Amino acid sequence: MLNQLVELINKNVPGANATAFIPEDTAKLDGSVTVEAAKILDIATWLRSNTEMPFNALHVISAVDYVEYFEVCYMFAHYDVENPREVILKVKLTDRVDPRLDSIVSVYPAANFQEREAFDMMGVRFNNHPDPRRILCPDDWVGFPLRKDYVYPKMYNGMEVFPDSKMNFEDREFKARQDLINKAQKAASVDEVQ
Amino acid sequence: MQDGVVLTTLDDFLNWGRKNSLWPMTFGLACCAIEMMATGASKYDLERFGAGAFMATPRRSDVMIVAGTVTLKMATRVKTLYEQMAEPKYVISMGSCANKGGPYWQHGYHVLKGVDEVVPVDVYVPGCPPRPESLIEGVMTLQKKIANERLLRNKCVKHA
Amino acid sequence: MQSRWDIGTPEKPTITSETEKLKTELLTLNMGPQHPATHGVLRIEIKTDSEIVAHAIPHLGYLHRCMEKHSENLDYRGVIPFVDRLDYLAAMSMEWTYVAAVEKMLGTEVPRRAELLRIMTAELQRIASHLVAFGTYIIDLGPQTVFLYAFEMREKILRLFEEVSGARMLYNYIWVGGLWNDWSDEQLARVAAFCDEMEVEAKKYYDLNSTNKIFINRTANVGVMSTQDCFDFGATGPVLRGSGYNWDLRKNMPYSLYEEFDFDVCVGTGEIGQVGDCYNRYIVRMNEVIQSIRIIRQVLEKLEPGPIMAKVPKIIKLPKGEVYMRHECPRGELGIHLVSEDGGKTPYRLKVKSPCFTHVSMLPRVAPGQMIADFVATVGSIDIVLGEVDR
Repeated sequence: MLNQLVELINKNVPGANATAFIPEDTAKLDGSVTVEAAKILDIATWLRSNTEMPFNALHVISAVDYVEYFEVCYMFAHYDVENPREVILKVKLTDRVDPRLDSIVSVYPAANFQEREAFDMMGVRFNNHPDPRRILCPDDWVGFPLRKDYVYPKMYNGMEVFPDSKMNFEDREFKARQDLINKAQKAASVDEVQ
Repeated sequence: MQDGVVLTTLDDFLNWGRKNSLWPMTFGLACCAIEMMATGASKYDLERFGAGAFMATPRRSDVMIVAGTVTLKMATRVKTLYEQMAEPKYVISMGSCANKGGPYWQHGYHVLKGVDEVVPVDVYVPGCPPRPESLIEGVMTLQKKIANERLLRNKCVKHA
Repeated sequence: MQSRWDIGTPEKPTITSETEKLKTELLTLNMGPQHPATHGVLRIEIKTDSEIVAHAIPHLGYLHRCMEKHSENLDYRGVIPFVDRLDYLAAMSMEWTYVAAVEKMLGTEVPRRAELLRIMTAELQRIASHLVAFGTYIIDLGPQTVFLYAFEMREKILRLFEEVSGARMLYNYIWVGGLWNDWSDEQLARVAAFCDEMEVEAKKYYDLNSTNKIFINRTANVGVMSTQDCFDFGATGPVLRGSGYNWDLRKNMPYSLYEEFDFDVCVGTGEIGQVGDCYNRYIVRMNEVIQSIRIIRQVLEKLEPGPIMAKVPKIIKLPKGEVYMRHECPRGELGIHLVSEDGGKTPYRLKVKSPCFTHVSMLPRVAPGQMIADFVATVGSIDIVLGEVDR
């Protein structure tokens, strides 16, 4: 199915450069189709409106941070009792400072909230989005939480985010400390005897 | 004539009235809210303690049961609602998220570690989520605390 | 002859020439984070033109608990309590979806008894979740007795779950490789007794509520979501089935052992009201309870003694790759996108596609033109759980 989809995309959307990734063990892992970032809007339009292999719904947009590049995965699904199908479409973004993509809200209105979340969590901005604000974090939040190099904030609006009195690290390392103390005491008593 | 006379102190009388009709404000935020609703339902009845009338508005309620995780976005609203309540007012912090941040304490960048960062808390009820019986014990502990209040002396209670 | 259920089409109020001369502007109301009728901390900014909603903008994030960041720092088994707390009313389904994703990547073969028991717990959880949906929906509209009835039956299910998993609501019961505790024959006999009781109760709810003229007037022809709207926004579950489209993941893309079971998919028919309105979504949930009872009875017949936990390595390390697993949960289709790097002990990225998130995004499309009371009925009929929306 993925190879057929890749052929159709390359035929109908020029410049898409679609490639399929089919893992060796398809029972364990899911395959995906990687496409060119600049052509995502044309590809989405073709996916919704074509007749050979249509996909009538967008499920989720998931952004993953591999440290050198970002990967934005679009999960498309087709709800049809005769031929149900789903595909993972991936787009690779190499710009770490200001990654940009075209918004597909005009084709799939489901993308509205999903793209806002991708922006909020990973910092991927979408051109021509009708409402480009943060969705889960507050509007004046600094930073993009799900990036691998995110630093936790100390204060927010006068409230301490990680107050020392509430952090449980001592309880967790209690057993380790007890073991250390016991070992040191045993060593000290052995020294004394000697 | 002897059966119709009751002698008591003014403190006890006022406290008896206050503790037996604690009207909570519906402030269910997350999973603990469902257990609060189950406490108010028919099996673990909170109505028999006088605390069955869940008011949606803070102006009419006596106790705010903070049930669920308080996030940083929500914290200012919690403070506003607490200030809108009329004296005497009490706060029960229900569940481990409201006590100290709960299971989200380690990496929760958006979670307020305990509602006592913004609001003074009277009773802490532990659990994740606390059983309805635990919440009832929390309400009863608050009732004991109210029974010890004194009208003319300061309001700090030494033994709950 | 006018039938008993003919309530006609709703009339939109018209603006007369006198009101046109007055300068009007839209009033912005806040159906704020603390509200008795939003199920949790959801803030909806409503711009109204007198009583009619012109625009509804949902604001989310008041319960954003950073679950995805936690899952990157915990090992695969340690994420299960966090996945529980996503949709806390359907915790078993959430756990099952996540554990199924991990098991697919590991390649473990779950024993048959464990799979059957997982199906049974998921269906019992579906009944419990629909009872809460139904009880709290009714409270939004006004009456309070039905809430007590629904929670009474839910307590029975929670009692069954508490005996087997130790907790009333957030179980941590479905583990990677199977289940951690088995059901005894006596407990299974009680499940069968519960099924009989629930059927009688469901008939009682039908007589009390589904044929109640006031309830029908409040919910029929209100908040119509067409099938095209549902596809545009990616709606699934009772919302999609209530708009007339026959799609259930358990039948169309079956997972686990659902192919062996005989049950019907409940679709909104438009017998009362219009297809896609609040009443049809409600009746789909009520019918699903009956179908779940059917599945549970079939599971009880098929159960045989056997192991309930497969052999899973002590430290789970998954190969490099990703998996997108979808399961039919009571509120829609939950999707778990699990990305792992080679030999990683923690998920590299765990993205949760929550059905309520997509359903909340449909509110700006459905709201304009409704009265505020109808808007409250619509919000309740979507059956939102904020733990899932905000993660």
